[in-house]
Amino acid sequence: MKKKICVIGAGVIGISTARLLQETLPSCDVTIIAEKFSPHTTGDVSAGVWKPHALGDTPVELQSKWSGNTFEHLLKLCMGSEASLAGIQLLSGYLLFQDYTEDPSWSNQMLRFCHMTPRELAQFPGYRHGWFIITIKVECRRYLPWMLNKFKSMGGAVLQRKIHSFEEISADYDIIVNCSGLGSYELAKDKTMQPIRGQVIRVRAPWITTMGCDDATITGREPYVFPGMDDVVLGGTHDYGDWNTEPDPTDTKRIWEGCCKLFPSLKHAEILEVNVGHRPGRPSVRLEKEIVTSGGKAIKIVHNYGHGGGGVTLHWGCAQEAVQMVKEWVEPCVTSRL
Amino acid sequence: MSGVRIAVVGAGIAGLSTAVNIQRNIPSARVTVMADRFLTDTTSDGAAGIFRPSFEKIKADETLVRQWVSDSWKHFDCLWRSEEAREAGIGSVTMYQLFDKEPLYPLFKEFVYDFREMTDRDMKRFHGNFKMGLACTTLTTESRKYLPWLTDRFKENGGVVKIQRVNDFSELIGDYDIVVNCTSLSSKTLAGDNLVYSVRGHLLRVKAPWVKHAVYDHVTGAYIIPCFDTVVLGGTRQKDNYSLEIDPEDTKRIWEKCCRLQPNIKKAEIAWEWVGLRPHRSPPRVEKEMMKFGDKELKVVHNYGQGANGITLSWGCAKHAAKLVQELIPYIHSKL
Repeated sequence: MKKKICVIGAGVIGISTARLLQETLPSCDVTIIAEKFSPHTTGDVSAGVWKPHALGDTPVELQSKWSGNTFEHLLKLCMGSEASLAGIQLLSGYLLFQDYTEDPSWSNQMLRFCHMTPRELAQFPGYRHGWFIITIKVECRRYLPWMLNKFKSMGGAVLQRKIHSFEEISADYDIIVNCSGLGSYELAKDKTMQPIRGQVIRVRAPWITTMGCDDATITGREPYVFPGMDDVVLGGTHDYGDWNTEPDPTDTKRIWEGCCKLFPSLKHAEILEVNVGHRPGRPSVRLEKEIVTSGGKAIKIVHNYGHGGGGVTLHWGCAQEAVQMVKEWVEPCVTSRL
Repeated sequence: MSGVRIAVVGAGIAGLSTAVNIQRNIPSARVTVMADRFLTDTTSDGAAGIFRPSFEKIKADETLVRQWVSDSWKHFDCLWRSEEAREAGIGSVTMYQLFDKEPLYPLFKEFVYDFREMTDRDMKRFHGNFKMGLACTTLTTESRKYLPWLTDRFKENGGVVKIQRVNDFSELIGDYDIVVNCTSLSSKTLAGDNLVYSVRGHLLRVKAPWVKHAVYDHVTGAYIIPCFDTVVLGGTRQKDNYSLEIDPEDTKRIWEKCCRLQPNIKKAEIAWEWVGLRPHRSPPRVEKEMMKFGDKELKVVHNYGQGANGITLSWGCAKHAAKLVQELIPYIHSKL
């Protein structure tokens, strides 16, 4: 009998997990249920640049595995003929620091990582050290619809609905995969979650082909400029516990001034939008199985949420692991380990 | 020295750059740019304008070439870092060059923001049998923005632009004290120069905003360069070909070799196509000449023949030409 799997959430985590479930477990029926779809998900606000940061208590080896697998997946897409439809492009540029900074653990995962030359640094007064990197940028506003279309064309079902409790849908599905991001604050009653508010300005500046980012992450308000296919994203903010969904004019002014200092020619860029998103912050990523009993029935859940600012960077690697967990339930005699 | 009358013949990038440099060196000069083709009708119109000079392509005295390149780089770098970058059409781009054998010394290495050998992993993403790759971050100049920008600078300093076809430089005797010849291929007739010839280039401009890097395949001759709001796909190098007609066979060849090099180009939409005749000369001609027409003489400074490096060398050669013009000034009133 066909197993029925429900993925809650249609952000970058939810859709990629659903796609991978479809491919890995063709014997199962997969349904995505979500309140919000692109362009209203958290990822749609983000610049979508692959760049690992320290994710609290998540073990470094795990982060490294997930981010590395995601990079390889995106790289393949990036050079293929569907790249533009999927919204994946290579992006090179500069991570800037005011003082010498040790190389990060993920340096060899990117396509290129090296120290900036003095001539490169001279373009950015005020910075004494920096890294030149080649990484990948994902336009979620293209990537999510592209993946969702593939999901539907392969027989996946999609329902638009807000889920308030796992019990609501437990009767209809054998396994639930919870990719609800910040929604888990209510849905999974996970009070360790908090929003990390990000504000960005999207501008039209097609002459900027290289990124520039003050990577100090001391105040969380350092400027960054990420050129993409449809616009250039200027940022940003990292305000912990701030649920405000409206753009803050003080933030807009500071972002604009900081980014124009990095690239003076931005002063003439046309502003397209100012967006606010809330990164699903958590002390560590929750990627694990859980069995919840309700009215005598056991509800099988695989949680895959709490990726903070690392959603795009980790999504494919985390989806692979979540799918592996589902597989252990679907095909227990093949994959269960005692 | 006041009121020296200077005619710059040719309104392409060489002519406009030289005119602006003359104004800066000799503020009292009365400079006129005259041509029958302007802006999008000039040779540099569709060119990608990527800064990557090499000694192979610029066969002139090394010290001189280095000076031209250095002056040009300083100018474009300064513009790039200023607020005027967008208006002037200057952009920066990371460029990859792929080879099947050890390349000759890359002169631009001495100027660009960074210069590195590509790693194997980096080269693997391009389709081809490459033994070696070089990467650098350099500048591009979009002529459709830069020529209007130069024209504005020229006019705001009192420069005059005349729509006039010059069939012979002798026509200008009496009205002008010095003539600056920036007529590129027309110098064959106007300056009686057989060393300058056309190297025909055809390129496609496509909409592919996901391409943020430039790449040159030195094996097939394919190249992909992101410019202001389109991506250049090229190209051809057809010696002594003077046709400005688009050959659909060339279009097909360029498209196929670029898609083979980087498949993500396949979904790009063609915006426009363009053919330009690079005015090649070995060496590029930046020098004075006293041209004789019967018993009359005309002081001429030549600035043409930069071939594939017209945009790259434009400012450096213009600066040099303006200096030569200055050197001629003491001789203007001496022939009485």
